[in-house]
Amino acid sequence: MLHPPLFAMRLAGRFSAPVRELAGMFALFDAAGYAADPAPLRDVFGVEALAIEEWAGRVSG
Amino acid sequence: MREGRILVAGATGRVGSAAVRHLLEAGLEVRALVRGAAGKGEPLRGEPLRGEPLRGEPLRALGAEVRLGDVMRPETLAPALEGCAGVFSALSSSTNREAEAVEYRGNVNLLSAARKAGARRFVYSSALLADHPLARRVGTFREKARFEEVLLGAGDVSATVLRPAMFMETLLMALGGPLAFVPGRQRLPVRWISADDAARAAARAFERDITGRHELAGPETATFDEAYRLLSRARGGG
Repeated sequence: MLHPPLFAMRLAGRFSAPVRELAGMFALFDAAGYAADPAPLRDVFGVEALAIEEWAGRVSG
Repeated sequence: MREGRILVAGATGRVGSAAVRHLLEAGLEVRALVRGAAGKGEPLRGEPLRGEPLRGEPLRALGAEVRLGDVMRPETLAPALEGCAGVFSALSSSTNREAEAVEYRGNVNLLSAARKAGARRFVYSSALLADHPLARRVGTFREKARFEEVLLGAGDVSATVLRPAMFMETLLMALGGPLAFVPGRQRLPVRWISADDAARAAARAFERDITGRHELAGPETATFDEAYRLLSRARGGG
């Protein structure tokens, strides 16, 4: 796992609009995380969502 | 809403294409809006040239009706919406400028055309934290938040805003061979969801008439590093 610093991505973003957009997104995740309440998906929508390992098994299988 | 045709915009993307499948499985009629020939990302220009595959061909194979149209060309939307009772928008963009054009104006065009066509059900795939103060610098998020307000303020439309957490597919996008490149320290918790489960929720929103704004997240909280460890374990990497 490599974690290049955000400023390096921002620098690269000066030359590429998609990279600039990604840099903004990762800056948001870095500062705020991306946590949410899992209850609505299960209780309101009735979706039993996959966990990461289950999903990985499906996409690689 | 258990009957009537649903127009899916962004139908060739991850969430859109999965939603087409789930809506069909739920017994609803689906029309997929696609922009033209496959593979080049070029704008709508009528029927594909001879020999070129239509972008939506796999969707047609599933049982969806495929129509050419472009949310940036409002004149193409009225024919696409004819006979539709609802819309699912899973449009996406990758740059700040594109976000203003597609996420905001494109969706406003779509909503306007839907109202004119009498389609009164609109489900929108937005993003978690779209209205976070730091998200104002991110075009995709900022414009999604702007459109959310337009949609939820439309009194004559039964609206659903879905705010999915981090797509698990993001893990694959950041992989470069054996290494994952994740900018920033990323030590805060993240909730994960597969695009397929988000699409399943969109289909349920139509089936069960679920309205309002909802966060969508799967069962796990994991930082990026922890998520990659889980991915690696599932792939037999220990």
